[in-house]
Amino acid sequence: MSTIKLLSSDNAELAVDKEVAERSILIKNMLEDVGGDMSDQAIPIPNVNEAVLRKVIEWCEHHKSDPPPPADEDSDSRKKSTDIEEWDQKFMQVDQEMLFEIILAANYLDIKPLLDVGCKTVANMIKGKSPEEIRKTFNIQNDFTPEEEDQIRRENEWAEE
Amino acid sequence: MEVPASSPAESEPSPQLPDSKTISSLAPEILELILLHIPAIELLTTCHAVCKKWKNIIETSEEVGFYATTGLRKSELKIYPRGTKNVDEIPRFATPMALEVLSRFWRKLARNCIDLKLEVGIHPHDETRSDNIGEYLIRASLAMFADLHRAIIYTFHDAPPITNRTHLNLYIKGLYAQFNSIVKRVPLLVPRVDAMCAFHALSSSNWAYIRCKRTNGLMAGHMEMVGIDMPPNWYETLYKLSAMTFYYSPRGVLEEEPQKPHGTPVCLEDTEKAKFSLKFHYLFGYGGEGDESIEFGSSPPYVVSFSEVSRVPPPNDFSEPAMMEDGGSPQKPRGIFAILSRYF
Repeated sequence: MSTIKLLSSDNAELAVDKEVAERSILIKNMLEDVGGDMSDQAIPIPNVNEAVLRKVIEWCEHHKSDPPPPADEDSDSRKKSTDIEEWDQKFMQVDQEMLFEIILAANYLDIKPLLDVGCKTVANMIKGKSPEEIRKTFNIQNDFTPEEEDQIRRENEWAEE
Repeated sequence: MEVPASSPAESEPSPQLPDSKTISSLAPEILELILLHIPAIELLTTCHAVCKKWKNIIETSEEVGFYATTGLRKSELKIYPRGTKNVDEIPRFATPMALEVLSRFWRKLARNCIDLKLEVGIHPHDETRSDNIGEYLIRASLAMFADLHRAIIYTFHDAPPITNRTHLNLYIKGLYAQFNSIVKRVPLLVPRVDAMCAFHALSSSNWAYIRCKRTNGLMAGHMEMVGIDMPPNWYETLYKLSAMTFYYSPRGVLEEEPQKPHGTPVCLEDTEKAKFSLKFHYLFGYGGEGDESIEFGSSPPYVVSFSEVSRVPPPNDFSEPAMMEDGGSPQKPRGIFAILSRYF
């Protein structure tokens, strides 16, 4: 099995199986474009630092033999947010900053299933919370004026039991 | 979920380090991806109230806005082309969100009416005069939540005290105020109820569709014979409808299985886990006679397939579906609400 090297934004060189790295569509396309052997040259990943890149590679390792996602999004297999497989749930038990870093890296590297798991993880942190709890969880500043807040509260009355 | 102690974003909102990653630093496209995993009703209510950025995305993003106000993700929507045969066989879908709003309205009203021992009906005044009672009922129900003061009539058992009547009037006015803004934001997806469209939707909402089927047609003119006196079976149907929505719509987010109401027939099948159908037979003056069934389906995700429909190959390009022809923006009332706006 051939190995390639990735160069993180903080100049760490990580060796990865080609098959694993190709979970990233960005890298896959890059390798295809180059058309040949990249074993002697590290691929720069300028947007992702070493810690995050290691984490992403860990995910790709675990999921390297997953079947490719159906090309047709039409399938009924689209899962609800609560359905995150156990390994992924554990994998995503990181601090918020790392979680968002992983999401950004998955987006940049074009690893759709990882992006999906990341987004679902954040969605699960939002679900079922009050606006104030959401703000607290994510340190979001409430930028509504009291009048605006009052108006929103009235608009939402229909949904209260 | 706690903010990790190591996060620089933990304490008072302070200028963020340029490379510190928080939810606020995510690009709007990524926040959209996250929001699409949240039950639509929470987007409309709690998430909408978090901050201006979120509110703005929920109101203006095409994908998130559509999902929030309909309960349907655009990517999960399929439109069958016009020209599909056998219109009567094609289910008509109201959006999950419209039905959710409606069921919440019914539930609030029904709860109050039960307290007051009232029975609620719908005023049969309908300028659009459909020849299809099921369609009529859908329109009437929606008209009711679009224009509550005028559309609702109520009959009292045992002549209750006038204070009850006053109480109900006040209550309905209050409900109207509560629902006024939401019904303007939530469209019924199907632009015309008779549009030759069927939606194959996966949704996280309950009451995902209404299907009406007429087995024996009435001419439109016959509806005039109905006048103010609604046939008894309509009352019965509406009574059941209100009871059903009252019992059946789960509280909160609609992620759980609906509870079986007492004594209500619930049909369990593989593809449609819960469905409730009402069938009634009606008779009118000119010998007009027909059968009509209304079916409410729930329990997502569900798959509805109809042989008549599925024989028609879906168009390759769903990007500009026919259903959007009556206007595509979720902000403006459209579809059934556009029709209903004629009422007031």
